[in-house]
Amino acid sequence: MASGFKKFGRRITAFVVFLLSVVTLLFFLLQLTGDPAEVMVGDNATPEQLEQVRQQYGFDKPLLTQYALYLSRLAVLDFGISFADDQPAFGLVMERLGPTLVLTFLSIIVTLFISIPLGAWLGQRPDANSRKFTGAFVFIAQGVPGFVVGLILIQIFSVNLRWLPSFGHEHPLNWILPTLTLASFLAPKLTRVVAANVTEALREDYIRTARSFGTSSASLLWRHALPNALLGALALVGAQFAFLISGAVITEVIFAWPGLGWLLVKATETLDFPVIQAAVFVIAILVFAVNLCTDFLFGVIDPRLRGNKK
Amino acid sequence: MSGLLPRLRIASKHRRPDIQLIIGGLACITILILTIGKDFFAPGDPLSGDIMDRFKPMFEGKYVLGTDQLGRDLWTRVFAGLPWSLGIACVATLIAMTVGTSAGLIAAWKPGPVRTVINRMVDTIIAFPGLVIAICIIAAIGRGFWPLAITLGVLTWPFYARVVYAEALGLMERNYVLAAQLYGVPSRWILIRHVLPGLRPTLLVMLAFHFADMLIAESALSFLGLGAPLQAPTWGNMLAESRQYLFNAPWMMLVPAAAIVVVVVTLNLIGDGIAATTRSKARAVE
Amino acid sequence: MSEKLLSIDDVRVTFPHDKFEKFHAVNGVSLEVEPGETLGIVGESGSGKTMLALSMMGLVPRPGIVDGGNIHLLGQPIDRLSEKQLSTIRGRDVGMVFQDPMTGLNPVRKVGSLLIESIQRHRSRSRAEARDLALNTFIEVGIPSPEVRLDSYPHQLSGGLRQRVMIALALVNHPPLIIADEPTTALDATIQAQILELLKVKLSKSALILITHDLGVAAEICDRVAVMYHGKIMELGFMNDVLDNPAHPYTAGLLAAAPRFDWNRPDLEPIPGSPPEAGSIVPGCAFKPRCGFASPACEDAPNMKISSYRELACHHPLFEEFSDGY
Repeated sequence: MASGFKKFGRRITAFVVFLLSVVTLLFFLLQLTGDPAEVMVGDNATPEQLEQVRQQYGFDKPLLTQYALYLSRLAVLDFGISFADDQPAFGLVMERLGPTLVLTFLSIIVTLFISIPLGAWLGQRPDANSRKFTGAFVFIAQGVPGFVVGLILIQIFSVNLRWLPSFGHEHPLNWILPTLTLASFLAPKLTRVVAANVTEALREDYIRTARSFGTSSASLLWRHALPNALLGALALVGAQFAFLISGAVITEVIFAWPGLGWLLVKATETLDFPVIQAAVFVIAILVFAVNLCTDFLFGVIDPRLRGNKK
Repeated sequence: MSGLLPRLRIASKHRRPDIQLIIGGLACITILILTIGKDFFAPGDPLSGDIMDRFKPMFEGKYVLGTDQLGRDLWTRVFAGLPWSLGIACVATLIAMTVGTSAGLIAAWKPGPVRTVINRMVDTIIAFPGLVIAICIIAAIGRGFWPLAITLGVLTWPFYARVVYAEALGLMERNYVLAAQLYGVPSRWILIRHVLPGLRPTLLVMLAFHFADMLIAESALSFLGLGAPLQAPTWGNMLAESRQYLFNAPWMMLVPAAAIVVVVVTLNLIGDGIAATTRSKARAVE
Repeated sequence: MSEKLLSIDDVRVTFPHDKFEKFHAVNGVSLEVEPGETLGIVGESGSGKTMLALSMMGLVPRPGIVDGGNIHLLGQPIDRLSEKQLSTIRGRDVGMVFQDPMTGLNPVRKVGSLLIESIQRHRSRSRAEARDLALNTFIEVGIPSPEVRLDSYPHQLSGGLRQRVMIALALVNHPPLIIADEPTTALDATIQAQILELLKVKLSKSALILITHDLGVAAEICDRVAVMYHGKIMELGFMNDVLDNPAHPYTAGLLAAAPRFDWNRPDLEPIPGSPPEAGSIVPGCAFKPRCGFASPACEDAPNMKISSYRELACHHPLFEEFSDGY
């Protein structure tokens, strides 16, 4: 177990370095915009107002001092007050975390429900015409960017058929289109990976062994090949989580889904730096937490990694 | 049984370009012709239109792809988007590929602090959602062709670096590299003349897929209002504008959407095609 | 016909190939197996013995096919049944032990669960009953701490243990025929002996077909032996007889080339030349170029000569009895 702790420790240090770099980057971006005070107050400010804001926020101090102050405030999760909303930025961001998590995890579930059966079917007999035809569809689907899918879904289901609403998130019906849209970011690729893994698994010797004691074709796929194929699929989902967050940002904007991504984009429109910084910080922690969980899950699921040689 | 079966799977011993590569290649050439000959295929001003002709549907009358809310011809606008989108993707890809490949090679060359630093940077950047950082950067430094292209390039070089690092490590184990080192060939030479050519097939495949990713990223950022200047006729902007009019004029969304999908699918075909061709070449050698 | 456990008549197995039109793995093999006997099939790599074994269970991998002849197991025409029908027969009427236990077991499945799956597939038993049966089989094949091992994963077992698991898997439902394809080749010498001993003792009630390239291994446990070369059977007879009095020049060559402490061979004499290209069709006798006894008659493929205890495919048998026939 000692090695487990050492690995965890290394992960934490890597994460701290990571977080520090992100936070520093954000700090310097703020400086890049020119005069932050002007950004906050607007173009019509008087010089006195600008000076007052500078003093209030410490923009008049030397750079390194500002940086130190910045880091010390961050350590207590003080990101300042939102320029647009006049409330603590961190609080605003945490309010929005929930909807983003719901959207993301719902989409992952939907993706798995689509990709695993479809991938298994495609991978079982890759040379059959039905598979090749469907495979071509999946290939083209992979070429349709997620936000285009979102717009098309809105066109079909909100505008033309009027079955589903296209924004907001109160009613479960509102959840369908955003979830499907975010799922489309990952589903085609995951389907192809599952299919490839299944095809490869079916070529392995242990499948021949299973056939030799009379396993049916269905069992071969589901009880022998798929458990192996899914290991690779899980790895992909974990690796693509960051990409999924990017997709969530766009999806939330399209559907006015009040999550972190929506908040972030809105904040960039007004250059509301406290909110931007808080949002990016929370996203960084979220991504780290999910990666940690995926690695842990992997260690538990793959018997070869469980590490107890008898 | 082991020795027999692999041989039986060789279809032919000559290198035959994969069908996907052929289709993709032809499509790509078509797109390039259309881009270069933009003024010939789509003369006219993408920025102005006859307000009396707004919301004309596709295939009716003289506007083949319809018009938008200001009466601008979508055919002209979609062509105008080509050089912008392809241009940004090109620059971003070039930056990412050069920086990434160099970083990967340097990291692979020998163990030490340089390798550690590069690998840490790669891990850090890859772990984070790129779009989020891109949004922040563009918000800070402003919109435009070069900010967008450079930002995208700088955020995506780690993908090349990671792959190049892994493959270069493998290639350097090969005997011809060891021989060159024994002969005292300078390291830069070895990397460029001996290792880099071995990376070519992988790099080409990555190039195709990465170019597509850059195109999508650019349209996504423009869609969010963080890419092209707001009035520029880029596909991302066109999609953003089309949102309000999905009811009156769905073709405003369909035209740029179709354009993006066509280019991306073309690039995916090329990428898959190169991958399949180089795989079959490797097998035919056995 | 129906008394024989397994009856193979002029079986051919081919694969599509671009160089020759077809790759001929098995070129017309006929043999019969009685219930309870142990038959060895001995041949070099490329002689087609593995494909022959696979064809007996309908397991010839795609794109290969059984291109001619008949295979009857317990009266059932194996070469003409559907995959679904075959899956009922496999594991119940015939079991196979494969060569490489490293890759032959599913890495994410507990080894006991495979046996349980086989039991429940062919006999209706509850999970608890199936587990007991699996436990007994593990004990039978000599796996220590069998209770614990049922829940082990393949990577937790040594090579020898894994091969015992494979054997357990093949005989758990007590099929009347077991086919073992090079079951000891991937193992250490000491383990080899143990496994062979296991096969000899445990399979006294079932028939066993042992495929091997090593005549010595076959000699340990087989009652009869068939010598295969380039897709055909060259000689078939009782083990001791063949060892003492080989009738085919190839068999004699194999014996002369095999280092064995217990036989009286002062010098090793390798067979000159090399086998014809695998998969090709050779006119006449395939062994002709390497045979010291070859003559113009060997341009024509020799027919099987059958005596009361031997079958032979040769124009120049090494002892006289065959020249006159039976």
